[in-house]
Amino acid sequence: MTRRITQDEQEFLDILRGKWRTGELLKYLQRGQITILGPGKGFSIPMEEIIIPRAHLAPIPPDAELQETGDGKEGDANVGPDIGIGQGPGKPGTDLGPVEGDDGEGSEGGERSAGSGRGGDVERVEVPADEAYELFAEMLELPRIQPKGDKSITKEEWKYTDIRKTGPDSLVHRRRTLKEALKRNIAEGTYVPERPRIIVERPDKRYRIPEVIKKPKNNAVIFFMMDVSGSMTSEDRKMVRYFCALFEFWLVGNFDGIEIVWIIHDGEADRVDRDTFFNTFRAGGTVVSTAHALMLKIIDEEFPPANWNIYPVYLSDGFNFGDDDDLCLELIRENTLPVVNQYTYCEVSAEREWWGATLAEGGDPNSRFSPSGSFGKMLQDNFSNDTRVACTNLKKIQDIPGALKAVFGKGN
Amino acid sequence: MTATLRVRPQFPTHLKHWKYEIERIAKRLGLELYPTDFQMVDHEEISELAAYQGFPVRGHHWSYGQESLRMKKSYRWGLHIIYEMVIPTNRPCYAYLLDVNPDSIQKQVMAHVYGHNDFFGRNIWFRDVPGNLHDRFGDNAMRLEEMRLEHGKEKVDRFLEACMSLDNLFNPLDPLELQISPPQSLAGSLPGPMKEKRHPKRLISNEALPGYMDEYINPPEWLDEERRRLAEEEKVKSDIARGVRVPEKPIRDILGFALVHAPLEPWQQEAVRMVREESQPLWKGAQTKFMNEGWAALWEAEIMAGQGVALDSEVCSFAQAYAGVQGGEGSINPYRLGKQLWDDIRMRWDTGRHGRIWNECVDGTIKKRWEEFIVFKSLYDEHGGATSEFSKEWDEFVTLVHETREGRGCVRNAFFLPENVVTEWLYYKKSVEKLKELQIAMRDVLELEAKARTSTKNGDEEKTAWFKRRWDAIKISNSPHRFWSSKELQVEIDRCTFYIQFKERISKGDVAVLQTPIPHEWVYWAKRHELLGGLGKGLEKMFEVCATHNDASFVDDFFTSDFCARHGYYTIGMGKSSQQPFASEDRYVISSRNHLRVKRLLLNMLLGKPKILLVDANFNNNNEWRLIHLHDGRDICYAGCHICNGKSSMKDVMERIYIVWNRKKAVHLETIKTEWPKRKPPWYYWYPPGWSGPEIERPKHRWVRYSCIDDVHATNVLPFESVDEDIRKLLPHIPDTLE
Repeated sequence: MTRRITQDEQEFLDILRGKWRTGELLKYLQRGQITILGPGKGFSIPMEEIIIPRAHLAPIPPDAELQETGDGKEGDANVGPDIGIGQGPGKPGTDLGPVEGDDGEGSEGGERSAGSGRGGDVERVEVPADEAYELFAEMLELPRIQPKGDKSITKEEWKYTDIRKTGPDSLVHRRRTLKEALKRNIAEGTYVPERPRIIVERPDKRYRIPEVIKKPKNNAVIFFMMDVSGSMTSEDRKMVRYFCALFEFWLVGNFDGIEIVWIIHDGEADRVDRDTFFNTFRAGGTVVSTAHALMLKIIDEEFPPANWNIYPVYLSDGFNFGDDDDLCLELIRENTLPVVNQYTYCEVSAEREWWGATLAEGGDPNSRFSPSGSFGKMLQDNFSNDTRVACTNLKKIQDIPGALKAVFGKGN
Repeated sequence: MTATLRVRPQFPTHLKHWKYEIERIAKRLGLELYPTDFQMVDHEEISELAAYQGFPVRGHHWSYGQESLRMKKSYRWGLHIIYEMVIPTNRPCYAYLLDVNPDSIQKQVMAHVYGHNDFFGRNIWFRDVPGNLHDRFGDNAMRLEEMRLEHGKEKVDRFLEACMSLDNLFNPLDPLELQISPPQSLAGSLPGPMKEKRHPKRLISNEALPGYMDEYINPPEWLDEERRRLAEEEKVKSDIARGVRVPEKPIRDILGFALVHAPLEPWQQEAVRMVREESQPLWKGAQTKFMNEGWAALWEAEIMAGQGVALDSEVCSFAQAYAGVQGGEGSINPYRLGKQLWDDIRMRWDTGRHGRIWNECVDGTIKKRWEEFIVFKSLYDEHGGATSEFSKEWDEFVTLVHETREGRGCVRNAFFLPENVVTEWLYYKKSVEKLKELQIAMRDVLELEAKARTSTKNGDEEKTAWFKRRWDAIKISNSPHRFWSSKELQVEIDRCTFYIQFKERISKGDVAVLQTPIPHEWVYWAKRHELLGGLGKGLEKMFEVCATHNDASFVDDFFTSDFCARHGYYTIGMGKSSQQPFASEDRYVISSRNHLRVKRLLLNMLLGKPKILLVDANFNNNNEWRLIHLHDGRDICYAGCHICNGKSSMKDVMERIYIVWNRKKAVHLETIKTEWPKRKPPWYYWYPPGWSGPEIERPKHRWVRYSCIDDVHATNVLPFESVDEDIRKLLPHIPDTLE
C-alpha cells in the first residue's frame, strides 16, 4: 500500500545516493563511519541531514571571554557564555558532566552534525549488499578480483531436470506419468469426466534423470597476522580492526566462500580466534618469521593452494628482531609468494615524535615508512617490482581509503 | 499524485463516548472548542504526518521524506514517541491518535487535544492562521505538480528551495496580506504640475511686535533647518514616485517584496506566493509553542486528574505518561516550562501575588504568611480597620484555616496546600449564594439527565454509551448549566452545605475561635498599598494571558525571580567546575541561578530569528539590494557555526536571495561583526592586593558589508561613520567599541 510519503522518501534517498557517488562515501570511509553489517550483507552509513540553509544567528563561541554587564556577576561561576538551561539542584560551579558525551578518542574531531551529535548512529541508511559492493568499488576504483586458474573447488550439483521413459521406481515423475496416462485414456475413449479414473500403464511412466552441473566455487582464505608485542596503542587497534573488517568485506564480495585464520605473534606465533586477535596485549620481543612459518604450516595442513585463494595480511609497526629479517625474506620469497594471490603488508604506526627519528629529522623522504619500521623498508627494497606484494601504511584513520586502494588496486 | 485510499482503523465506539464526556467536562471548565475529528493512525503514519507538519496534502518535496525517515528511525530506537498530532484547522480540528496506546492514554491524549483546540481559537496569534489550511495546501500541491510537469522538476525544485530558504525572513507581527505597494509605472515618473513649494511654518504673535523680535521668535537657524527638512521630504516623495527609492520604508518581508517587485516569470511568482503562504502561518503558530503545550498540559491534568475521567485503575499510568512527557531534570522541556508558568500565573492571581503590594514587599514575615496577609488585606479593605465586622470575619477565617489544618475541614488536610487557603476562603464566603445557584443548576441537570435516561436505549450497550445519550440531551438543552453532571454538582453542594454548617457552628459558638494577633507590619503594608483586581482571579487571568501573549512576552512577563528560584532553573556554560578546577578538559558547569540570566537565555532561544531589513532595492542606482541586519548583540552566522556545521550559513542564503531577486545584480548585507577574545585561564585574573587587576579584553566590533553575486562573495569592512543616519536610527543597540 503506497503512502503519499513514499514518493518523498524515495526522492530523498535518491538524492543521497547521488551524493554518495560524488565523494561523500569516501568521506565516511575516512572517518570510519561505514559499518559493515555482517558477511554477505552490505554496510550502513550515517544519514547526513540535507539542510535547506536559513538565516540564523551565530552563538557566542564557547571559549569566548564574556563580560557580564552587571546582572548576576556576583556568585556566578567563571565559565564560558551560557549555552543551555537546566533545572535541578546545585550551586553555580557544580559539575554537570563531560562535554564530549561519548568517546573522546577515535572519532576525529567529534563530528557533531546538526541534530545528531550524540546519537550519530541512530540515523543510518542501510545499503544492500550488491549496491554496497558497487559503490565501494566505484569509490576506491578497485577492479574486481578475477579467480585465478582453476583454483576453485568444483562442487558437483545434481539437478533433476530431465525426463526419460525408463528408470528406477524411486525417480518416477508422478505428475508427468499421470498426464501421459490421461492423454492415453482420452485417446482411447475410456475416460469418463463424470467418474474420473485414470488407469496408468507401464508405457505411461516417466522418470527423472539427473544432470551433473559443475559449479565452480571460489574460495579464499585470509591469514591475518599481527604483531602484538605491545607497541600499538588502542587507537592503532581500532584502525586495525576497521581495516580488517573492510578487507574481509571486499573479499567476501568477490569470492563465494571465505575462511579466516587469525595469528598473533611476539616472539612466538599462535593461532587464535577473532576476539583474542584484537584484544591481546603482550610485551615481548618481536620475531616476525614465526608468524610466517606458522602460516605456511597451516597452509600445508588445511588449505591446499590448488583449491584456495590465499591472502596473507601482515600488520605490524615495522619492528623486527635484527637477524630475523633474512629468514623472513626467504620465507616470503621462496615459500609464500609462489602460493598466494597477494601478500599484503600494512604498517600501522600512529604519529610518534618521541620515538626515534621522524622524516623531518633526516629520514628517507622517499620511504613511506617511518625509519624505525625496518621491516617495511626491507619489503619495499626487495619487492618493489613484484606485483604480488602490496605494501601500505596506516597512520590515521583517514589513510584507510588510500591503504585499501594500494592493497586491492592490483586486482589480485 | 493523489494518495491511495487507505482505510484507517475505526475510531472505537467506547472512545467516541469518552470523547463526549471529555468534551462536556472541558466545556464546563470554560474552554471554547471547535468541532474535533479524531482519527487513529499507526506509528508510521504519525511519523509521516509529523514530517508534513500535519498536512499530508502538501506538495511533494524530498525534505518531507528526510524528516519522515528520521522520525521513523527515532521511533524504532525508542527515542521519541509522538502521542498525538493536532492541526490548527477549525472546520473541523483534525487530531490523530496513535493506535497502539491503551485507553487510559487515549483519554489523556484527547484531553490534551482539547487544550490545544481551545488555544487555537483563543490566542491572537492564531487569528491569522486561516482555518482552511488543508484546502490551501491541497491547491498549492496541485499547482506545484503542474508547474513541475510544465517547466521541469529540476528547475522548479531549485527555485522552490531558494524560496524556502527565505521563508523565515519576515515580521511575525505583520498580517498575512501583502502591504507592499506595487512598483510605480514609468508614466508616473514624469514630473507633475509644479506644486507649490512648501514653506516652514512661522510663529506669528497676536499682538504686533517690533521687527527685531522676529529673530527671536523665529530664529533663522531653525528656519533653515525646517527648509532643509521639507526639501528632503519632497525629494523622498519624488523618488518614490519615480521608482528610484524602493521600498518606501525598510521592510522585513523579503518574499513579499520579491513577489511584488522582482522580475519573475509567472510560475516563479506562484512559487514565491506558495512558499510565503504556507510558511508564514505556521511560523506564527510556532511563536506560541511553549504556551500552547503548557496550556494543553494544564487542561489535560485538570480534566484527567481533577474531575474523575481517569478511573482509579488508570491513575498510575496517567501519572507515569504525564511525567514522561513533562521530562525529568537536567534539560529544558517546553511542556514543563509552559505548564509551570501557567500554574504560577494561576496561583499568583488567585492569591494576589502581583502588583506593587507584592513586588515591593521585602518583608520576610509578610511573605512567609502571604495568604493570610492577603486575606487580611481584603477584609481590611472591605470593612475598615478595627470594626466589629472585620473582627468577626477575621476570626472566622482564622478558625476555618485552623480547623482544616487539623483535618476537620471540608478539604482533606493532605491536599490543603498553602495556596488553597485563599480559594477555600473565597468559596466559604460565598457559600450561601453559591448554594442557591447550585440548587437551581441541580434542578436543570436532573431534568436533563432524566431526559437522557429515557431516550431510546439499545439492548446490550456499553457502559460508556450513557455519555452519548447525555450529550444528545445536552445538545437540545439551552440551560446555562447543561455541562454539569449531577455527581459533580452534588460534590459542590456538599461542600457549600458543609461551609454553611460551619458558619452556623461558629455563630452558635460551638467551635473554638482562635485569637490571632495581627502583626503591625501587616497593617502598615495593607495601608500603604492597594490590592488590584481582587483575589481568586487566577482562571480569569490565565484566559486573558492566553489570548494576548506569545512565548516571548509570556516568558518576559511571568518568569520572575521567585519562579526561577522555586523551580531551580540555572544556566549552563562550559568551563572548569568547582569540583575539578584543574581538569584538562572543559566540562558543563552550572554558571548561574540568576533569573535575569536564565530569562535572557530563554528569550534568546525564543527570539532566535535574525531581523533583516531590506532598506534599498535600488542600491547604487543599479537595482542592487541592500539589506541591513539589526544587530542586537548577536552576530549573524555568515560562514557557518558549530550549530549548523557550515551548512546553513548566510552566504548560502544570500545566494538564494540573489536567485529570487532575479535581476542578476548584487545583494549586499550590512551588519556588525564581533570578534570575541579568547577566555583566559583562571590564574590570569588573580592579582595581588593593591593592584587594580589585569586589563580585561573587550570584544571588537566592526561594520561589515557582505556582498554576493551568484556564487561570488566579498566582504568589506567599512568605517561606521560612513553609515548614514537613517540606518543608524534603525539599529537597536550600537556597541561603543564599534569603529
